[in-house]
Amino acid sequence: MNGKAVSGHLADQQLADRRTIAALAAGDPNALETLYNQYATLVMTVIQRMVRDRQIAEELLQEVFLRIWQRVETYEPERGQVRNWILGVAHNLALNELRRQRRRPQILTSQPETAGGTGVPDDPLARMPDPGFQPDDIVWLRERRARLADALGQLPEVQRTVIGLYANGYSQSEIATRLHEPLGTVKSRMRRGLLHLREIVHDLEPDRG
Amino acid sequence: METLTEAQHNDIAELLPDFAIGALSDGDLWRVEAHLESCPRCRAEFVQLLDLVSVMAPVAPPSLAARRTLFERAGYPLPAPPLTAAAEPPAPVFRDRQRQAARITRLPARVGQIALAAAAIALFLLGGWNLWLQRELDDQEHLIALVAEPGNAYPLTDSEVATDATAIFYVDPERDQALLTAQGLPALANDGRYQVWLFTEGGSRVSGGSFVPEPDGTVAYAVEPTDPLDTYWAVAISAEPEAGSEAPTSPLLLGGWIQ
Repeated sequence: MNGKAVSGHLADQQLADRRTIAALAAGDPNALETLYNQYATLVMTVIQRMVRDRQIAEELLQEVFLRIWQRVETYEPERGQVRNWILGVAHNLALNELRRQRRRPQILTSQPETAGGTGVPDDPLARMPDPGFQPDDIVWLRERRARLADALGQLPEVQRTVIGLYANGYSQSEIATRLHEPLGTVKSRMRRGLLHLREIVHDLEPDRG
Repeated sequence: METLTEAQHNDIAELLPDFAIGALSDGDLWRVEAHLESCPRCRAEFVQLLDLVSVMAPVAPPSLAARRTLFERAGYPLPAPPLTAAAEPPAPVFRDRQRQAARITRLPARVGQIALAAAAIALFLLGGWNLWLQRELDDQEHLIALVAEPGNAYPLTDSEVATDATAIFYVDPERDQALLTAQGLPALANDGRYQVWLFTEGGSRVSGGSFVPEPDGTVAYAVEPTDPLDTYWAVAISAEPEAGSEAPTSPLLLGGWIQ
């Protein structure tokens, strides 16, 4: 199957990403920029949700893409999509940061304030928005969100509420507190809802693995 | 490889949501990490959770400084932007609707020529026998004028897939009509058709009809939405079954902003 004469089926996102990964392995910096434009905000979201600090999140974001750039050979196609690999790398680095913070919280809280994570105080570029990527300017991302929203809309209200709060950054304990429900109830609603959601999304996206 | 009862498995699976957002204690962290190594089912659930978190409620994009620092550290420093870059973005082009619009405005001759050539080729190949053109042959001059006006042209550049296809969406605000021209569209099996999707600002979508491209992958398709065109902010194309779909059932092949 190639991108120009596809017989029967369109090439999917994985194909595009794997081409980019191949270019990255060949040392093409444009491939790094392609991946960055595609995934930077998604990666940023995963990290910032975890570390809850935008400056640290931006520093970790750079580490994620540097690691991808320097260790692209560690990507194993049989383990899943490029997108999932990138988000997994981000999650691992953010977890390591959280562990480090728990060991030495006082050091992190005493860091001088820098804008944007460059380590240069008062750098005007640090506060400048990146014009290269805006998640709402990517039509497919909007469509993907619409699909998930469609799927969420089909869930029972109690499951929808829990998953909606979770998607907006609340932990299960925080959701339990907010809803005045036992933690066990929230966990079981979350689990049933996620299983249900996956079935619906799978039906909505038959071409996706 | 660890062996767990279903109850033990479920116990760990219930921790996955908090694991995905870093809300677990160290004690639970290692249990989940160890379990994920050997449980494909939980790995799939974990990926779903990351997807949910990252797609449904994204945070603000990283700053320009983060991009610049990354590429410096990678050994490919980006050209220094002017400090007014927020108002006047630098030249490298990605999927930014303001810059798409700016590109069309600033390079009317080039884009206009390309757009006109693409549309003329498509129209020539179609012989003017598109259904819309059949109904309104007297609109041909108007169509040519439409594609010759660069301010009406919106290139569709977003894609969920690898593609060599290109498309331009021409908007006629006076007649509330639009023309989609495309080249390089792959042939679809099983009588499949390409379906046009129109998105409102709020993200809801409606179908803009469907078409089958010519054997050489070109098309000139008139889109006549039921609501005024200025209702819609974006347009995209996906491959669908012959009867069409209520929502895209395959990745979006091309998309772009039309406001």
